[in-house]
Amino acid sequence: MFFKKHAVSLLAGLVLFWSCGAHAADSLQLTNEVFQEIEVKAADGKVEKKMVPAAKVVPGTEVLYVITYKNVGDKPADQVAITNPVPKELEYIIEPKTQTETAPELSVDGGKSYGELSRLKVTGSDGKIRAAQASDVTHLRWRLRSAVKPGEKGTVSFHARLK
Amino acid sequence: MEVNDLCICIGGAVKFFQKTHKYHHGLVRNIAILVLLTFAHEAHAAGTPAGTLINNNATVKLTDGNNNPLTLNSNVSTVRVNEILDVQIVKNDSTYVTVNTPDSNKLLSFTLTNTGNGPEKFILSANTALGGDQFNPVLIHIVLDTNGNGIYDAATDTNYSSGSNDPILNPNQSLVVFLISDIPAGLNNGDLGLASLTATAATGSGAPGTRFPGAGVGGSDAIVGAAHATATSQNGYALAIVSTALTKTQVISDPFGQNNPVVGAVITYTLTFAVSGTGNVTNSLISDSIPASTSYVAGSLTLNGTPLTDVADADAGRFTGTGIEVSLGILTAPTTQIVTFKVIIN
Repeated sequence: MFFKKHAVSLLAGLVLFWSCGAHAADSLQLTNEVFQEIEVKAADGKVEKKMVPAAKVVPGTEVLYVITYKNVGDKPADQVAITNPVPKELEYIIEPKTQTETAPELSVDGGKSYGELSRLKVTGSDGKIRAAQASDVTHLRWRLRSAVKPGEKGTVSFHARLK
Repeated sequence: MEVNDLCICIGGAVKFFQKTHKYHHGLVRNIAILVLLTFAHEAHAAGTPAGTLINNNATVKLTDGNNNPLTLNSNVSTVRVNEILDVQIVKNDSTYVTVNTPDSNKLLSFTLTNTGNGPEKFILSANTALGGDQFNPVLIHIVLDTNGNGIYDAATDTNYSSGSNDPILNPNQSLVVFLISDIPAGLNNGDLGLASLTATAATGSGAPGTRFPGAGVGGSDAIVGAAHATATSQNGYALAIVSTALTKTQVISDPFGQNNPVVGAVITYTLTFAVSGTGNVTNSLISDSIPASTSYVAGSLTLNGTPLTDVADADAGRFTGTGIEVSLGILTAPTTQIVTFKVIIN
């Protein structure tokens, strides 16, 4: 387990010193993957849509970020809040099929504050304050309602479009 | 994040999620429309530059089993932006360019724009043998507006030579390109000679979505955009030949009610200046001298029925002392101008 944690940290290019220490056994493992939908033509000529890892995309493409958390420790993780910035080249897409469990809170101010989009305001390019739109979203936050038990795994996700 | 705060937050979070749920349902349709519009718009814009690497990682905050706050990061996911190949050409002349027969070095102006999202080389070609016209212009050069002023400068701008100076444009960058042609002799007024300019992305073109793996910027794939990565714009040369004709007639009116050229008879001269064909004539001036043994009848000069004063002033005509002059300035065909004046036989 220790080695696995190490491998993940190194892959991420992040050196999380404390993850190697006493807290390691208590931590969540967090992985971030990005997918795009492609159309695959089957032998019978039927076109099916399929999600595949998005390594290369063209502007205008919708991608799906999937963040998987897993409690790899032996104690529950409580008050779990996962945040993810929306990369500046992407525009957040409000998820039409909302899953109550995983609906994110939204931030339009770089993650300083979060709330419902309809209540958020931004300063437009004309200097006037206006209602925020999906394209103004800078960060997403998912607060899990219950503790993540040892061995428990879950995902949160969001769609965004490449500008 | 404080543990105490979090306890309250968790309860609050549930409420929040329920509200969000309702909110989403109310907005689903509007959002779907917005997304479509955005996509349509993006098809014309260059978008995020090709080769850009988009990195993303998630962070989690939690309270561990020992009640200590902990922050952890995910791996970094990376997406590379592929290159869209596309191009647009528009003609800069709002109408056909008017020419004579023969004529030489006549310009058609076009603007080429890289509508893709990566720097791209474009291959240019011209076609002067199009159908639907009366003659073929003789292409002399395709010229690149090297100094970027939008005007053809023979000394500065570069003649295009396919394969040697194909223009390379950045996303959204434009270049004016001129077609320079000669016009054959022996054409008729109104004849049209069409010519077109085509630009094609050097990396590749074809059906939208055609993929050239690894051929894009920074190892990205190059993908043909909605406009097929090739574009053509057409304009033409229109023959505008102006013809002019001046005719002079006279009517004699003698004191006896007859038409004999006797002493005291008045001669009314009518000068008819007809401009036909297409185009303008400039600086046209009608002048006529007073015949020997006659005298000009003061105040008899008219232009298109309107009297003109004899003195040199704001109106178009005058009596010079030896003849009349009427300045017609710029005339656009077709038009007919009629000048009359009278003399009396001495």
